[in-house]
Amino acid sequence: MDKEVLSILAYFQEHLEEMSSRFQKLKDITYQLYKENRELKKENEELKEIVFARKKEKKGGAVSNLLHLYREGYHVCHPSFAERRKGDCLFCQQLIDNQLTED
Amino acid sequence: MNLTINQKDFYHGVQIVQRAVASRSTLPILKGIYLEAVKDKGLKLIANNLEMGIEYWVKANIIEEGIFVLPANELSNILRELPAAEISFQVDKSNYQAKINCLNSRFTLKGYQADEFPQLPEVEGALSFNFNALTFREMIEEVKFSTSTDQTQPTLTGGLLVLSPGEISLVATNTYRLAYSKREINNDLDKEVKVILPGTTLNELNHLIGDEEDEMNILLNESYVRFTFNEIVFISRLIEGQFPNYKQVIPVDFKSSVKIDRVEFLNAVKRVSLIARLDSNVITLNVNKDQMSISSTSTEYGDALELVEIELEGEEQTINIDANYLMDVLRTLKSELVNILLIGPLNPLTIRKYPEDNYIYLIMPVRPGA
Repeated sequence: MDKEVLSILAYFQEHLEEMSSRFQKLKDITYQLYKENRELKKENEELKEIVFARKKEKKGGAVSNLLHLYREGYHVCHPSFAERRKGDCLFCQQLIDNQLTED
Repeated sequence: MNLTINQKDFYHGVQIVQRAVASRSTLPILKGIYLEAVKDKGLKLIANNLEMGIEYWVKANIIEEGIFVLPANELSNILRELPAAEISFQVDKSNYQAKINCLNSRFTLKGYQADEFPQLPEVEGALSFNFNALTFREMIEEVKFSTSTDQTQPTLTGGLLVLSPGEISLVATNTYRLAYSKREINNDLDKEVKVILPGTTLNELNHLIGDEEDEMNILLNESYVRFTFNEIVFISRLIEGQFPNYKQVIPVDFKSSVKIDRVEFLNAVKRVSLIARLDSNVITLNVNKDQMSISSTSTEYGDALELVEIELEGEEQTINIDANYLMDVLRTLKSELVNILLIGPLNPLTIRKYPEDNYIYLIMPVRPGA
């Protein structure tokens, strides 16, 4: 009878130790995930900032390209795009003014 | 076909439809006028250059019904020279020729087989409405000079007809200037309808609409427009494509408002343009408290200066403008006074009728030193 109890206790202890080891492993994995998530969040914020800055740069570039094309004497408006203009155009001027206001 | 017809009536009818005869065409029959004699109705004349077509009925005594096509120019020349008397008109279909006899004159004119003549298209599934023909002509006059002549931009060579609930408007622009004319209209529309009428259609309508205050019926679908007025049926193809968004270029805020006598202003601009046209045709408008100075300088020929009394509200300003663009609108408008609205030397100059509020004309200025 004592032997049987001792064997059950030993078996129980083994299980507890195994569970404790598994719990430790889970704890380690959770910590790793937490750490990874924190790093990814940070990285994501940094990437967002970079992309936003690039977009802004690109938009500014588009307006300056339009202005450059217009000053070179070409239409930049929808109805006459890239055609040689004979003077200041109502629609080009409106388009450029709109783009500049949006910026 | 056998009929008798009055020379004046026949020539008048031919003159009307002749405006739609093809001047250059690979199809010779399009240079002709289709004639159809119908008992109790008269003689129907049709010309069709495939872009536009005109149908007109002339009173005639029809002895024998029939159809035939005669070359427009030759028919018109003969009718013009014939005496003002009754014409006997007979067609001998066996050898495709018409006999035109009037008093002591005898003509034989060769024609074409009428079956080959393209009939005017039916305007199906159309929106129909009536409008005063004279008012429509006035609207055409107010915008047609602003259409573009550049055939590489087809949508700008026409005028945009906009129908919205209770309102009809016409817009034309060559991107350097824009004319917008609107009037009230009774219609049961619940949405906006926009079509582009070709510039030639605007010109022909302007010419054909008489001085009578007649109602005009307008039928519209996606491809064609049909105008019926003064016994004339006028059909035109529409220009496909997108007309630029004109609303967004019409300024709403101004820094200066000038009221000026239109004829006085026009005459002053005309005189200054005598010097301006020797160079770049640019005149300078200098808006001061009680007067506007209009000037032009040509380094080679000299200079010109005119002073016109004005009423100014707002800032004093200076702006350079193409003289022809200005004269075009001042010649066309009929109001005694015009209202000139300014923002700055690089912003469009706006002209409105005064006191009516149914017309807007924009001109892009010329940059100082340009």
